[in-house]
Amino acid sequence: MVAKKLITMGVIPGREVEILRKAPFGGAYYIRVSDLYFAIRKAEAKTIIVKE
Amino acid sequence: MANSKKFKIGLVGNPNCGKTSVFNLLTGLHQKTGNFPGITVDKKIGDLDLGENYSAELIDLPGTYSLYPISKDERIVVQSLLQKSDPNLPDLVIYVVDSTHLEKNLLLFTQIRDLGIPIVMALNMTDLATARGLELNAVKLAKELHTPIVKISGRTEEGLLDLKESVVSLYESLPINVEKKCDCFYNLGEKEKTITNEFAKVFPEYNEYQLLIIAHHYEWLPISDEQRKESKAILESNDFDALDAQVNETMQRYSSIEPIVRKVIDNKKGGSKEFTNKIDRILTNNFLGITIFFVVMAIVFQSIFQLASYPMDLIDQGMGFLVNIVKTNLPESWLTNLLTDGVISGIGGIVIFIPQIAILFLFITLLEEVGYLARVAYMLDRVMQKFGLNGRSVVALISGGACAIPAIMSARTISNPKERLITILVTPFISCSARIPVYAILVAFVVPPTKVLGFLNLQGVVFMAMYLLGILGALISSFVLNKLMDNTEQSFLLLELPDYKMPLFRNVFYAVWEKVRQFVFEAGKVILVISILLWFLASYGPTEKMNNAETSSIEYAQENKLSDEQKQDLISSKKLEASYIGHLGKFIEPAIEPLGYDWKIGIALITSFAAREVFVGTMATIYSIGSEDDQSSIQEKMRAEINPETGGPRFTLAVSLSLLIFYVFAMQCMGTLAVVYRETKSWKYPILQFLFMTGLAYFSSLIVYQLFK
Repeated sequence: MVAKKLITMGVIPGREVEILRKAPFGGAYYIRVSDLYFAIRKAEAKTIIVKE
Repeated sequence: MANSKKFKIGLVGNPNCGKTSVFNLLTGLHQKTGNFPGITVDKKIGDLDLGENYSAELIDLPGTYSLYPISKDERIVVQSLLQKSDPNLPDLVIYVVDSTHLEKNLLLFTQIRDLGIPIVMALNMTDLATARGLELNAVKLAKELHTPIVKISGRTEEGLLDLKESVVSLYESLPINVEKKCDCFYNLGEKEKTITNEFAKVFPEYNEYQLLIIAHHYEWLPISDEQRKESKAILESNDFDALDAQVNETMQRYSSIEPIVRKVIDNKKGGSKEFTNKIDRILTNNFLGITIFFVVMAIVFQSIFQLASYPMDLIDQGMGFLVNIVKTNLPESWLTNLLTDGVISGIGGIVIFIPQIAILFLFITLLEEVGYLARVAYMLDRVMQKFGLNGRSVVALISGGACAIPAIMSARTISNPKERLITILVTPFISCSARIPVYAILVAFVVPPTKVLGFLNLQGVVFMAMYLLGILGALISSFVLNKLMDNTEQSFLLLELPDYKMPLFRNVFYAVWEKVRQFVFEAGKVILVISILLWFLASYGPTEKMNNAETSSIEYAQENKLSDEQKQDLISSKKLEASYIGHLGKFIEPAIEPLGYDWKIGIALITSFAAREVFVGTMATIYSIGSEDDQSSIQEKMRAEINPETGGPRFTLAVSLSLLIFYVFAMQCMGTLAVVYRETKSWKYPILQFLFMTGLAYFSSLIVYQLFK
């Protein structure tokens, strides 16, 4: 489900992902993919497979 | 326009693409709201004036990223654009694009195109794109996509006429050959072709891509059971992997979109793409971010609380003035009384909330427009998640401290239905401003104004304790509700954090106007009916008893040489006792006796269902005090009231504390119930909420009374 949504939101495989910061109470990340910013929970972020 | 041809236009686009500004720009004040079946999101419809020959109905469909919906709102888009039987099926679509994120925005565009729906594309926010160093060639893009494209600006109204012209000329060229569908974005795989061929037998008259979308969503689309069974069989026999197919399709679309985007966008240097990130370094900072949030909320709260009090006083006086005019100009009759005490005060009870609603939505729309609310949801997600709430629930909960009614309406910014519902259900626990007069009179009555710890006023401490109790009630209830309720939709945070941008005044204005209108005309109806009912119950009773009450008080007044004013007060008091509400108060006495209340308090409990502050006024009437505002005389009467059973005072510490607790938890507000009904579109939730909150109030008061007795 998460993967389905991510891909339609513009988080496309092959793009550069950057974790910019963590939420104040933890649990979520503030990430950048290309020129888009997202808030994403830890569990949701796990669906993104990062390759160096 | 009378004889012009009317057709339907769907307004479609990604979330945050500025669809609302385009809608407001196109329709102005010619908007109305309706319902989409099965969801609580309002359907916004507007009339579009297209000159002499045409007019159109513009339907604002929920923002979505693709034809693969995750939420119920997004399903509405698929349903409306796909099904020939759907009443919302548009003749053509205006597709709104955020020019600063062209690539992402084109995905859904290509899908709708493949459904065979004619599209006019509205390129929004091109000025922002330019400011960021992105030069977008609209002419080239139109050629690449074979689609009429209009640059539009919600800010400057640029392109508004062009857009209307494009819509008309596209409509005039209909029907375009839908079979000549562009196959440049997506080619179905072998397996999908087999499947759609078989689907074509079950669903005639649909094109290949429409059939594929049906195959993906056959489980929830409103098709016949027969069709559902057949669909299932076809998909099983072909071993259809939906996720795989969707990912494949999406990737293929992006790979055709990417080169087009590269061709039409000239990426100049010097743009400030890091602007948003830089601001968020501060606004979502661990310490500063939270501090700033609470400062923002403090400003919002103070504004609803303080700023709204001026227009509210004016409304109050205005209504009083109106009642006076009617009373002096019309003969004394039941009709006059109905008009003044039922209808006018009922309307007054509706209008009085408008300032608070308007102010709260002014702020909320501003914060949403700027992009700040998404950050709030992100920052507080973890904390609120523990209670089954959403980061945005905090805004509703804090606003609830001023008034639950606008606060509950603000829960609309929460997209997960379960989180939204819990927020709506628990917000009334937060002590609102209407509880203040009740707290004030009771706290001042039982708590001595002594100092604790040298500087704290004990009355203030108890006051604060009441607020904390309300917050506790809200959090514990949401925790319990979260465990009890099934999650119909998966809980997501996954949220786009849109770039910060200047708010559009027009959008703020329409949002405020819309909320006020909905409250007045939808929740307002319920409030008016209840207040007329309460008026009737309080003014009428069994005829004989009502007459008795009047004659006996007149006799009593003459014997004791009471002044005219005292006589009138006595009559009102005795009449209230003899009325249906008086009977109701006596009827519920056995039930409220364990809480330490008598029938007089019972009457006040019933009448204060209109609004909590009515408690004070009713107490004044029952104790036959003319001027309701005289707090100290109510307290004197309360002190003098004797409990016939014990011979001691009626309002002991135990009774007063029990009453205080009751007002912390009880759902004593018809306006709130009306608004919950409006927002959940069902009576089930307001009734459950009423029973739950009143039950909780009852048992808490029972415990408190029995402990302190």
